[in-house]
Amino acid sequence: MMYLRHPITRRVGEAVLTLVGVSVLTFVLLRVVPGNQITASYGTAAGELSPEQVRSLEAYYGLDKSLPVQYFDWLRGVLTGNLGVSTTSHVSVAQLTGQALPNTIELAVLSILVGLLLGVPLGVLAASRPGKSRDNLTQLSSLLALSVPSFLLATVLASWLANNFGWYPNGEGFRTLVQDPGLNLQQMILPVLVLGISIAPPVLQTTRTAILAIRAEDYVRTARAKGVPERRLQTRHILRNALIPVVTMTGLQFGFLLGGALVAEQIFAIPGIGRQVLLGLTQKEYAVVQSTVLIIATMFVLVNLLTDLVYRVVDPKARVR
Amino acid sequence: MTTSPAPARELVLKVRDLSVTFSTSRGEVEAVRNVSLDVAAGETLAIVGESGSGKSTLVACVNRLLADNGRISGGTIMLDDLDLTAASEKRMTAIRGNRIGLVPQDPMTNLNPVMKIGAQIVEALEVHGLAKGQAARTEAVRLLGEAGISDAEARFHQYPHEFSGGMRQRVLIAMALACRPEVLLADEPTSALDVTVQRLVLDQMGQLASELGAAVLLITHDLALAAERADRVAVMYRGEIVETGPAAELIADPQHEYTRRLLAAAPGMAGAKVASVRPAAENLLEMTGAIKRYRIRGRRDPFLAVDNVDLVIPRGQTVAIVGESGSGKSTTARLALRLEDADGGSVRYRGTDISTLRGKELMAFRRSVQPVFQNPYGSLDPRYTIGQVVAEPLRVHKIGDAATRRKAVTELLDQVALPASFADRYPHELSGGQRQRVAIARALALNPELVVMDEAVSALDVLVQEQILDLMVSLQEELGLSYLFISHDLAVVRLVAHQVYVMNAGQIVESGDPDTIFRSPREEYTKQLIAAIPGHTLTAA
Repeated sequence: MMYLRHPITRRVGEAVLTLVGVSVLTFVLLRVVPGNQITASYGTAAGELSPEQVRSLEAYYGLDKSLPVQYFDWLRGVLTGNLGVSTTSHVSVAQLTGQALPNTIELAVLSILVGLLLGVPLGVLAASRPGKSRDNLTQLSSLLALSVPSFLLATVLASWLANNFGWYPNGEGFRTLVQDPGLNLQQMILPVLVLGISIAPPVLQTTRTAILAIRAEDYVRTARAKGVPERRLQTRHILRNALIPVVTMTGLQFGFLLGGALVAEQIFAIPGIGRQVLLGLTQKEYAVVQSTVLIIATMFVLVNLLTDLVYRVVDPKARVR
Repeated sequence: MTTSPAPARELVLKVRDLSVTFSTSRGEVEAVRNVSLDVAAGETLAIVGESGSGKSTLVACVNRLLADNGRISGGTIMLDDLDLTAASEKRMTAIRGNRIGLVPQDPMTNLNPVMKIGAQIVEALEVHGLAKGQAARTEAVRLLGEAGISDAEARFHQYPHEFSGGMRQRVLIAMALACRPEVLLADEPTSALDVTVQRLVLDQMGQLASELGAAVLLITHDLALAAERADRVAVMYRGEIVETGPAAELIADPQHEYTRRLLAAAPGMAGAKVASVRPAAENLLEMTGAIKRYRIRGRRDPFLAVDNVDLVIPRGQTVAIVGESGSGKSTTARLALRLEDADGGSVRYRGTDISTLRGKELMAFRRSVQPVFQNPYGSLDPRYTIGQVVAEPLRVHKIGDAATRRKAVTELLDQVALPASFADRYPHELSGGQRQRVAIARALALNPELVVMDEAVSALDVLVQEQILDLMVSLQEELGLSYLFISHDLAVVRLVAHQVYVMNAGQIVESGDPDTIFRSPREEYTKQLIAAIPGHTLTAA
């Protein structure tokens, strides 16, 4: 029984439980919402279908089986590598994901970078003189960035650039990084900026709070008493320690982004994982939604594990835990 | 008041009429008033005082590292010919660590947790341009070895959390002495350490400082420790130095009233205050062959925290467990409180095995056995008024209504000598000693028979500690209480205990009445503990 207590076994166990929970919840939610694949694909015409037609359609979509059977059929498929097929486009979910996921990952990585590049230096700046004008100004703009909804910022930015400068790279149809790196990066600029601006405020606040707390630590005073010059003190002793909570924060944000930045993907027409879920939902493509959500959840869990690894690099104490 | 100049040695540090003011929400507060003192090369001057006396502020001034709301409002601090109060910040950065070394109080919080031990010492050498690269590393390893770290080469690459408290303090000493400073400031350098470790660390620090010929300013709350370690002692009280003189003279013939009170309260020197024993007392709690194991991650064999402990607490008596941190004394207390179940042996309360208690019986047991914990700052809910804190046990056990509880609170506060008006105050408005009184009042709320005091006086100043010990004894006389008194401090234990159990590595190594144990300890470990009591050599002499 000893191995059950081992931290790694526990983490993996927790992860599996989380994924099972997510899959059941998605499954139930999809079926609680009124309507199914038949009403979604036939629209109002679904009402004119004869009972026989409905029955054969239900048999076709597998809706005639009991809910547990439907769930376990799907689960068995997932476990054997079959994520299901989109019935409207006749493309497998695996293929769909293979196309969408790289775009989402690219978007998430770039957005996190922008969020960190904005948030950490501004957090340092705000913490440098707490309560003074510099601090107040950064805090105010961070609050502003946090409160402006990203769909608004995205729309305003995009239409302003399009109308006044005729620059709207996202209008030409999406190119992946492999297909056309130049155009792809141009297309990514706006969504990355919009997402980065929404990530920066929490990063800024975390950095600022951590710096202020660490500055009051005994070991900082001891370093001063050792004669460490101010600049070195700020970087080697204070910032280095302050980054530990920032890592946690960033990991969480990254996880959310991998779930698909739905708004940004929709407005800037980026075929990412968020759009895939949305498309599946409007078509009531049960398999697409269930499998994609499961993939997103898996990514989230993986990112959390990754955060733990980074944690071990920045916090030596985590290495023995 | 000026100290008498030390004879024939070069004065390194001269403080003249130093005053320090803090601006607080309640206006300006003068924390240090007209303090003058001298420290010569190779000399140790101890500054003794209780918390809030201004002794740490004085140290902060020498380093010019006062808190932001504090400023030096008058006087000078001369390091040789340089007035530190007038030096620029840049100048001070060059002096700190180089000409003035600091050994801080708490080794657990004073090392940067994300920097390797070696790098932190190398940094001291590098920022002052004394050595670089490989030379600095070699020097740092040598310094660590000198400070008493064995296998310094390997430990150089470890992080602070891989070091024990005593080892960390050695690292801090190595760091403070790295640049061979002329002045060494030691601010309560060992008050967070076990007594036996404290002695070793102080020996090492004293030896290294005298090799360097540094002037040492030793700050401590412990008069006995000061007298043992310093050439001269200055007693500080409410921001002023009230008395100063050669250590032996000051102890033998204290002039100031406050010094006399400190001496009388020092556990190593005070007389016992044990309550009279009631005849033919029955046994309240009996522990027989108690065992507690903890599993440790990454190790196959469980750790034996409590190993076959036999212990008896007679009614109306104080039974003490003494030992160093990690000896298992707190775990034993937790077994007695049934905060944990023993893995072997039995704990009987009034003849009943407490592990079998359920429901109402368990509640009755909880009512009659109450704890008081170490940290008076952490054990009171900051959002409760004192009245709510004291009444909480009554509410939990559904005793009385609001009105009778209020009355009970007043009576309880009176028992611990606090005015009834305290019921409406919040914990942060109280001093450490007052808070510990509140914790005792809370423990008494349910009319317990046994109170478990886990290091309940360790965090308090000697004078306050004396008051709490007096309170314990008088409550015992009055209410016939029994105590299980857990402490690392053999000197304190001797004052109040009827029976002493000495614990080491989970086992009881020796037990008996305190005087016998003090006069003729049988076990080597007990002898070490007694020898390590600060001032032991003074009283023995």
